[in-house]
Amino acid sequence: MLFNSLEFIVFFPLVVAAYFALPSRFRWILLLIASYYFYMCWNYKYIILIIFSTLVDYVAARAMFAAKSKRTKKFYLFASLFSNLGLLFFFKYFNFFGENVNAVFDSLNIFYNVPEYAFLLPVGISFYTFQTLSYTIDVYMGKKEPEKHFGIFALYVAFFPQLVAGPIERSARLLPQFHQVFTFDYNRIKTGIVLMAWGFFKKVVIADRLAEYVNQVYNNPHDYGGLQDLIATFFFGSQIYCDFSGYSDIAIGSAMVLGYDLMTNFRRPYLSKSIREFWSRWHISLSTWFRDYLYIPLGGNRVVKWRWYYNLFITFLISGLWHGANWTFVIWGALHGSYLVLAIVTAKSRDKLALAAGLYRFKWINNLINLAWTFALVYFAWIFFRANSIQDAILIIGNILDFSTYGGATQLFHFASDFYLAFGLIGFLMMVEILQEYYSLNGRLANQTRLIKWVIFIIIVLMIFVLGKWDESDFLYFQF
Amino acid sequence: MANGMKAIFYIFSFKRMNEKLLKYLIYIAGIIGLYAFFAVRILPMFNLVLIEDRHPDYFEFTKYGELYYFSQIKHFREELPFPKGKYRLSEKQSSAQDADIIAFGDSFFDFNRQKTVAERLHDTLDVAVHAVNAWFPYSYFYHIGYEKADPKVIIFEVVERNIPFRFKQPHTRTLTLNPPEPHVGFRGMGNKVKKFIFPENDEELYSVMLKGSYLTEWLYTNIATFKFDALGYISSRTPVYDLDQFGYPVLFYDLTVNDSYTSFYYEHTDEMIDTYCDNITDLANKLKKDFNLDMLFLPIPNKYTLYYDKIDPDADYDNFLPRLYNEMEKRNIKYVNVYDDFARSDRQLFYGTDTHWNKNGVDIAVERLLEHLSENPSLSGKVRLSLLLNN
Repeated sequence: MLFNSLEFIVFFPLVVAAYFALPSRFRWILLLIASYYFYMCWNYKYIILIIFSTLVDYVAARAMFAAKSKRTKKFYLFASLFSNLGLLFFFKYFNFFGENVNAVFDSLNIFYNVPEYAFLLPVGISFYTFQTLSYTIDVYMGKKEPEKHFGIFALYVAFFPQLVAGPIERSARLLPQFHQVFTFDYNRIKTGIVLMAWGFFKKVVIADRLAEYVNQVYNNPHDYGGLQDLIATFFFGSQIYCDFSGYSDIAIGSAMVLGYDLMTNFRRPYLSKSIREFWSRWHISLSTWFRDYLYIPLGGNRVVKWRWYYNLFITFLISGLWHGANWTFVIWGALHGSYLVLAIVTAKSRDKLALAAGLYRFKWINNLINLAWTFALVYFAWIFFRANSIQDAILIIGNILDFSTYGGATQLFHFASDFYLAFGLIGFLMMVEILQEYYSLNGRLANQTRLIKWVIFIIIVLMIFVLGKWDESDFLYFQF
Repeated sequence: MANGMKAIFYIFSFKRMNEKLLKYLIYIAGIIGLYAFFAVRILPMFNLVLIEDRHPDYFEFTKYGELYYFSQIKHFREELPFPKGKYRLSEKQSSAQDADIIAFGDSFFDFNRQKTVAERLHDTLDVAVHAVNAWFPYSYFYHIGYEKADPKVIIFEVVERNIPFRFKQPHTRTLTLNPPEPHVGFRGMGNKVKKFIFPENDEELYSVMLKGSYLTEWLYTNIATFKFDALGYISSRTPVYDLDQFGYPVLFYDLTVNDSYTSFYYEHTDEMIDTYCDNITDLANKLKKDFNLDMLFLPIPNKYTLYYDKIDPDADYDNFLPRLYNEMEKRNIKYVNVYDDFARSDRQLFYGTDTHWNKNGVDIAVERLLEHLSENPSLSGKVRLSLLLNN
């Protein structure tokens, strides 16, 4: 089930009403049924995978906790890792792996073909797999006691607001909340609804509008010149942000209506002044996951320098692969890894340069340069993320750099007004984010009169209805 | 006392009232959600909240053309003749086995804002006509257990946009649009339960409810009309339209103008047309051999094919239908050419805000059909006599 579907608009109030009408001891049952139904609306057969992961991790964690020896604990941890990552590999990476092995075999004249399987990628598999993995790893490390209640644990794995595209929650934060009793809280529900509306606005008004232009250019890169490629790339950066952060807002908002507190996933990432800062603001639940369960276990920065660089690079390379079984994602991850390593290597010389140029005396100019530079690097990497192949990405970069390909019609929207509207909406979003970042817009709005708050809310809802693209479109991050 | 006053104050306080109001609103939304959830699964509940009754798959008993309901913009409201009862569901319908003529076709043959072709043939010739609304005749006759009998004519109607899909492959016994699903036993029961819990078209049905219910129709229509007036937005299912040139509002269906094989803009190569004709010949032979049915092929031009020059004067028709006729001629396939008459006609042959033809279009088709039928040797003496009398 998609958030931007009528099915969800029917489903959600029904679940919320039933949730508050039910005695609290039955609520987990309602949420579990609703979560499984939410997932099964997409493909009812694949619920087996979620149930399998739930069973394996529940049993593994409890056995690990009960085990006396480290060796036995390790055995259960590996059993959990093997089953979860095995499923993820099989459904998401097997064909990619096969294609590449076959290509290597072909080049070596070895006549063997790894078979290809035509199955659907289970929606959200990367998200719930990582969520359950964090649970078993935490239990193994002794950071968390295993959950006794199987139903509650099943709900932790399948909780519908964040099941298919995160935020990837940690057991220590989310599991205890399922044991709490939430009463009907006017302020909390109101905030949740407003957050959902803002998420819908970003998704159906901005992201889905930009998608039309981006898809047209990126799916037919040979048909377009540098200017269209540049505009499409600029639009894609905003599209993916609005799409994914919009999804996260709806997820966090809908959980909030029910009483649950999910972690913040985005904090105005395009206002970052370095790549490092960007990753502390973009898809926070994933970047902290990789930090805690891959980067730090590899040694983090408490190792010799070359090893530190290696740790950083490999973490981002794997993060790229997590996003999809395609070399374009690997390159995207490698680019971000390289940005970070280069940032560390060149930190002192950049400081000296800035000092020599007198930039530290004009902090705002220095900040602006850093902001623009970070923005450019992130958007450059997005080209690989969105392109259908490495060849397409190279073609697009070539076109952007070749001014002789500029010209021709830039208007690729079905409705002419959408082109200008797209720029206007991006500008509006940027303005809101700048106000949030530097002028605490949210706090100021909270202090406004009830009338002003209602007027703003109604304008957003009207814009969703009038300017929203309601033809069915998936959230981009579902495929990851 | 003080506590009591506080409690009373709290009960009547603004916050408390807001909280209560929100709670009631959530419960009301939940009840509406519950109703909608069951309404898309239970037809009478579905129709109960709609201003106009709908069959989930059709726009049959509605006031305006089907394309209006896609866009729901007020300017495209064109009141159509109210539909008659279906011929194929009426007493006039005869069984396939007993029929003199079989009228097999898609929605054009089933479109009942005016008398259908089957009904017209039945009434004009006073013969038994069996009407079928389906896509693949060969598998259909196998499925119903049709027994080979005396020769009879089957008129097979296909609208232009569907020809590539219908004839890209040979027709076989198993080629159907909706493969039969088990409906008895344990699997049949499981199938029904699955369809009830996870209906495939629920999103579509929710959309029909949103657009057509007493509660939301006016809101939806006004927003859609405002979006059209202010920003030029129109539903992606009716992306091409005209309000002036025809003298009446006209909408075109996206399938005839998008970039798929159903579109006017799709390039039909000679090889493709060869394949279609090979498969039409193959179908005619199979129907003759296995069922003794003599096929008369009737392709209907798309509305956009006839009027594209008013919408997109720079476009060129790739002459798909004339080229198809030409190839069929070479292979001695019996077909009815209505394209030439349609293209020449200065009358309105299609409804402005519906994809289907109107009575004028049906008139031309029936006239051409009667001409062809009178030349057909497979007709029974009774039909021949009727044709003779009719002439």
